[in-house]
Amino acid sequence: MSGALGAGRQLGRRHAGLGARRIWWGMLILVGIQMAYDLGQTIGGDAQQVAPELVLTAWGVLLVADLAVIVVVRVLNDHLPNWMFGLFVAALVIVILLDLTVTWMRPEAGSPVTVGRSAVLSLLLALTTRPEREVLIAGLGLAALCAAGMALDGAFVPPTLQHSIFTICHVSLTIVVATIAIAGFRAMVRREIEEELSRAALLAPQLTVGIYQSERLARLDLAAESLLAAVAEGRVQLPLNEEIARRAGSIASELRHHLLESRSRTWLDLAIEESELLGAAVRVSDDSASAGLLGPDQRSALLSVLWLLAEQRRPRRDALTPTLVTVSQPVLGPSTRPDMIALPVSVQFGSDQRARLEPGVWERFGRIGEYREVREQGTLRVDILALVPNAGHRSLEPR
Amino acid sequence: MDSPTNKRDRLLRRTARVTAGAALLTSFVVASAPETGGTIAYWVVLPFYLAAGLLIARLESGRPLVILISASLAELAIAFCLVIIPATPDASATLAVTTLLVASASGLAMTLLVSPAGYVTYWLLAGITATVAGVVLHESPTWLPPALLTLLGWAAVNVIGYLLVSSIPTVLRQVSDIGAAQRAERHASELEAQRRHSARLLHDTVLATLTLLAHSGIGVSGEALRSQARNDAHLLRQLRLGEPLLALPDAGYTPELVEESTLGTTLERVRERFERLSLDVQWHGATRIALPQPALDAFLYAISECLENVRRHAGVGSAHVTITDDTTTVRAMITDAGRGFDPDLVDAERLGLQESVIARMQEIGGSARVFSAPGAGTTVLLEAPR
Repeated sequence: MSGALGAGRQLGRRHAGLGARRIWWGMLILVGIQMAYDLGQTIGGDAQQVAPELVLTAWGVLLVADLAVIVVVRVLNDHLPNWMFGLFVAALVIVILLDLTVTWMRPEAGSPVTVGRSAVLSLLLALTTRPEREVLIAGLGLAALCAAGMALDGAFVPPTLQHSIFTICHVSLTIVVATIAIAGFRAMVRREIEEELSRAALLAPQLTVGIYQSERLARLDLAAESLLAAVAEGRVQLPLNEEIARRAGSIASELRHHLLESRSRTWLDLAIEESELLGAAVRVSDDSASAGLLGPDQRSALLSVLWLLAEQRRPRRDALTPTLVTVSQPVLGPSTRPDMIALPVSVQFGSDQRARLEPGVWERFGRIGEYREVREQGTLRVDILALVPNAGHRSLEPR
Repeated sequence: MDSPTNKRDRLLRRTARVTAGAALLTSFVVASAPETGGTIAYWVVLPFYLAAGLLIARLESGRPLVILISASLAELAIAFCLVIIPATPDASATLAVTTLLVASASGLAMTLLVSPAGYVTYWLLAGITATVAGVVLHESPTWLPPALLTLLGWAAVNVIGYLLVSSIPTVLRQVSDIGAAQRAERHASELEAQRRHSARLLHDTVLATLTLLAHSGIGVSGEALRSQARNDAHLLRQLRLGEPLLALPDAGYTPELVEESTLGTTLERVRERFERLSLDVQWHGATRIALPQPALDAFLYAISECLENVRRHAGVGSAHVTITDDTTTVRAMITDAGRGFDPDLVDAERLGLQESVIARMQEIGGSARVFSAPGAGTTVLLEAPR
């Protein structure tokens, strides 16, 4: 069934870069500020330039590399190919080596790197277009290169010790902060998309089939059609040979299975199946497929509860027990409402969720139906009695 | 669902936390280096560093305004202690303080960047911090004066905060567009699945036929099985093409393939057409041509053209068309007992064969061959791959 998890999740991944363009502009401005600052230090710095041609070359290479990345990212619509990223990092290495060479050539030990600092931070231009791990590794690698070069120059002894430490902290932590920020942003976007996609399942009828199931049925139909057509047109000999007979048998059993199984699914199964986050955090037990009886508002409230609970968890997924949602067969409703039946829904919280729940969670439980908390052996369960229309009931009273 | 404001605030706080935390860490590491490291001033500020660090760590879960104020005060205390306690502040102290004022304090204040009032407060704080930097730091660790450096840092943090905050509504709007598309797709697939499902329940013969086939069709007459398979393939084809199922002949529908019935009519029409032109066409062999539609059209057209040639040039009143097929090829033989010609002498071009017959057959991967001799009639053999 792993393939069935495809549609929604793939969609979620495809759009993970959403909204990153603005952040890219921010990175561009940051890199610009850093470069202006370092350029100022190169020009206005007190130290006499020992090898102006090397410094000039370093700045030239950096500017060309940055411009190339900017152009490629814009032209390719927020995409930076692998080879381009590799070239970019290589160019930055060259810039840093040139800068280090200049500091080595200076008579005094521990001269500050200037263009090298800009070079490391230039990686931020690639931040939104590459996986954050790549940028982090490349950034820390470049920072380590700077540190090693500075160490060779004797920069990590007084009086230049503090400045050297500061420079390394500055470049490496800026990269770390930027990657953490973009990772948080991407996680938020992905979560939003997943929630939105899972909400699409709310509109499903009482029993439903997923998009993937529908495609699978279409494929089975096509296979059956071509086989039957081949038989009808005499393209295959009767009696059938073993291989074709086996194919007919497997199509038949798959179709039968599909017809029996496919419509026992409810919106709740679909919503959870199509989100990776929810899929990892929630299990559903609904043998009678009763969740389909819930009305639109009740469905929406239940899904919101599940999302809020998933949100509160720490990302360590293996350690947690999933939230278990059990929907049982409907029972008789209150005598005052003969037109309604009651659907028992229970939400068993994971063991790590005893602490505190957002008030919004309780408010949503209330929207599903009357609820009560049950605490057993240190775990929390919420039993809800959701009233749903009794389809069999025919009210004689005019409404 | 969570409100967009909550999402924005959470993202902003998380970014503020790592920014302020990283700057605090940098400042602490620099302050720990000699000569400040180990001095009285260092031991005095150590608890403040710890307090500021703990406060910043709680920035996401705690009350942001309380944390902003208390952590800023702790950082201010660090700044004053590091600069004032030693008689002459050394380079580490200067650098550590600069880092705090430039990046850590501004990172904390990033959480304010959500309203116009927040921006005003932010820049007020920036002004105060820059003033503090200008007063306490007598020498700058860099070529920029401390106050200017501070303002530059705050400006950079402002840019990040602004872009993060302003990107959220856009992202949420795009996400909701994706959601709408997904709902539409789900709706469509739901309808499609329902259509297929109800069709299957109405005509539940496909399964039965497949089951028969799974037993190799043993025990059932071949013709009956073929006929049943034909019906089912017809049903599935109509389902696939989205034709309304009502058009299906209901229970006991006639087992005819679409192509076949069309072809039957077409052959009859060809015959009638030439009959009106006083050429009697006689069909032999298969009554159906198992070719896909475009190839079938070309094939029939080529046959008609050959018959037209017979009518014009052969000088006889009848022609025979024999259609045969095997597993790979469909053949049509158009024969007349007319006057014939020498293919080596008479240009195929002149007979109109080149364009109308040979080219057409080649287009569908087939071929056309002409056999004739003066006085011995003509036979054209058309072959098309299946």
